[in-house]
Amino acid sequence: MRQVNLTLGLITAALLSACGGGGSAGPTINSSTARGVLVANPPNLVPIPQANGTAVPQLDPVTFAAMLNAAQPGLTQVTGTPVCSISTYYIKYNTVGSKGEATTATGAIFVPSGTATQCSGPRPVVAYAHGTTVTQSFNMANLQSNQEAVLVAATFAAQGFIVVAPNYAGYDLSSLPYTGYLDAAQQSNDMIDSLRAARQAFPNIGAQDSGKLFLTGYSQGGFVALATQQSMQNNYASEFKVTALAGGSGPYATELLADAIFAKQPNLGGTAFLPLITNAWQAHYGNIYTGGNPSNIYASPYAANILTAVPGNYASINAMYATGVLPTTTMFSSTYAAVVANASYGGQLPAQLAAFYGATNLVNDSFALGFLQDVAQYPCNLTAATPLNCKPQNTVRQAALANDLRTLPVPTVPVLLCGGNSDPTVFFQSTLAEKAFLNANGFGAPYLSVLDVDSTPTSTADPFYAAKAGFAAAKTKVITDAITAGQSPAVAVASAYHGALVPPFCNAAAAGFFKSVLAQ
Amino acid sequence: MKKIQIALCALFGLTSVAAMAEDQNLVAAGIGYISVHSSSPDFSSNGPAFLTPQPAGITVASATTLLFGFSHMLNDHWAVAFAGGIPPKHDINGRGTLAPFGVTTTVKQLAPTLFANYHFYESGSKFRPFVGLGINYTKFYDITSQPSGNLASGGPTSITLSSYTGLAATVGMNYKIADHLYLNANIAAANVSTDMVATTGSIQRSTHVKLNPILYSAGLAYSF
Repeated sequence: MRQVNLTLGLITAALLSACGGGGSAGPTINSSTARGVLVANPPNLVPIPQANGTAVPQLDPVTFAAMLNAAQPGLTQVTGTPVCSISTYYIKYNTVGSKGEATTATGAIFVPSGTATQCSGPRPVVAYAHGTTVTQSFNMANLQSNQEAVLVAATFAAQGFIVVAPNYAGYDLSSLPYTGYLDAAQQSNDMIDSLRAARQAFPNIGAQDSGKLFLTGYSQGGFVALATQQSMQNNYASEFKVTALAGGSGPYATELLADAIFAKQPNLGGTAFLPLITNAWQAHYGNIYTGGNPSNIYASPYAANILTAVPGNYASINAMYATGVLPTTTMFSSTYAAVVANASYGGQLPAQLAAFYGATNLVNDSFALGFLQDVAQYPCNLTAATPLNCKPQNTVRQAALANDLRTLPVPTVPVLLCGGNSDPTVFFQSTLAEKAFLNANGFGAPYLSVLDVDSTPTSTADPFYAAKAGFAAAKTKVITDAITAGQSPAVAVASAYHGALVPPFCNAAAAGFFKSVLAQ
Repeated sequence: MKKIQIALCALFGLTSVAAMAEDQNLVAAGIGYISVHSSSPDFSSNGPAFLTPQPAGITVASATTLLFGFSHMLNDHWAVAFAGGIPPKHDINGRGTLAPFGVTTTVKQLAPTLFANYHFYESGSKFRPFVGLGINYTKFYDITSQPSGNLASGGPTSITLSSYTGLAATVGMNYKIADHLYLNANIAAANVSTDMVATTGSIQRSTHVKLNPILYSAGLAYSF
């Protein structure tokens, strides 16, 4: 009896091990914290939901075209009619924060496929840097609700470019407790690491890299694209050979813009951008907030929440403003308005700037006045060729100077800088200053093209005829819609200008520019 | 090798038999239907919310298998019984937003159970009902994400289900139809729950599944 029990026990033990194993293989997880490591390979495919509740792995071009035109009638005329199917992947990768500390970030890869020549075989890669967002959960892999992702997928991926688009450290599920907003080194490292991670994924997701690498981005992303090109050229030349670069409406000349905002004209959205900027630069340099407390820059009641105000759990920038965590437009006090009026406008502030000054001011007077005094005492931007040959004492100006992209050497690749001359959010002055700097340092046509979509085509042979004519038509529509709705056309155009009117045309111009470079 | 493994696995599934008559030992074989009444909360995910549209959950389907058992009478009324069977394969169906994907996963379970059974009536009776309490160990294996599961999850998916040890209870009977030969039937219930973790890309989705299985079985037994 005892023997029987023992035998049963042994058989059971043998059995338990014999019956294990099998099952489906999942992704390979890489637990290294080294930069550029793709955490899970293959990364997550983003299924495309179907009406019956199931899903398909790819977005086909016909469905995508219908989706684009439903969102905005005629949009495919700007983006181009989709040709390729698109598979979307969600990636998680290792990168570094502004002090070089290890962290994680996430992003998207769009992989084109199809029978058309431009969809099959080795494909060029576009690294796309997204624009400013206050939405913590912002995700370029979400084609269901992220309009910027949809626009990028349509403009580049549906036309045959593999797209790699990081969400940036500090967003989505990144472990970084801040975001490196307009921190040139941190953001270019992030772009570089997302590309490294994407290259690890390519063999497992049907992406064949042709070796052609294009960098682009819009707004904040325009800045990031230029910063990334500089970093690749200066630090990673053997690893990344850039084919061409296109920036859209980017704050490249950060020092110049900072001075302009304080001394002359605040910008639309500035009350959200400034906390993003100072939080990031505080994380990097540690000398922006006195003792780590933002109240040296910000006024009550906003100062108390500045460190966590943006990005946050908001559906949009308007939803963020609706919470009252930051004022919508009142960057400075009325007291400071009088100072600026005297210093820059001969005593009378232009009427359209009134909204930026008021009792619910974001920036406190002592900081604003100190900044203005620093601008007067230690001026920058004195010459086009050496605009950063200055020694500001204000730490925000110092950081703006350190991250300004008007630095040498000039690019070794063709560059397109695109924007609209009446941009109230990122002034076109930034694009013109970058152009002037490059020109003054020997980099100009035919390697550098500057496109003002808000200008009249020189002729029908104008290489940017479509972008300019398309922009003019879109702007006219905003004006007529506003008049129909009994609203101010000027306000309607200003509100739509940077975030809605210009992006499709600058992105399309970038795609056209890249195709022309490929064709050479 | 595969055959041997199946044969070994077949030895210990989930059923219960009981010895009777003068013979001390009894082996039994039969058909068993494992009725699963699973309940589990929606998946929690460490990924972005839009990649796990809620409510996303699962239900575990019932299964039929061949059962085997061995029982040894310690005295006229008490027996120890070891129950097992060919490990059944269960379908795991999507629930909520995953429902349209149908069977997302299949899993086999090995559930050896040791019972202490009390047999009513006298030794040698033609009809002997019994009740028992036992310990059940459930191990899940060959957990396979199906193509529809991979599509819903976003790629190749590995799934783990933790093993579980819990109580089981049974009621049954043996009915003598010839020398050494009996009709055997019983109902058994076990307390089984498991932590499920599905890994796709960098995302882990997890839930805790209570299976609440009830086994209905009928077959023949031979005493010696």
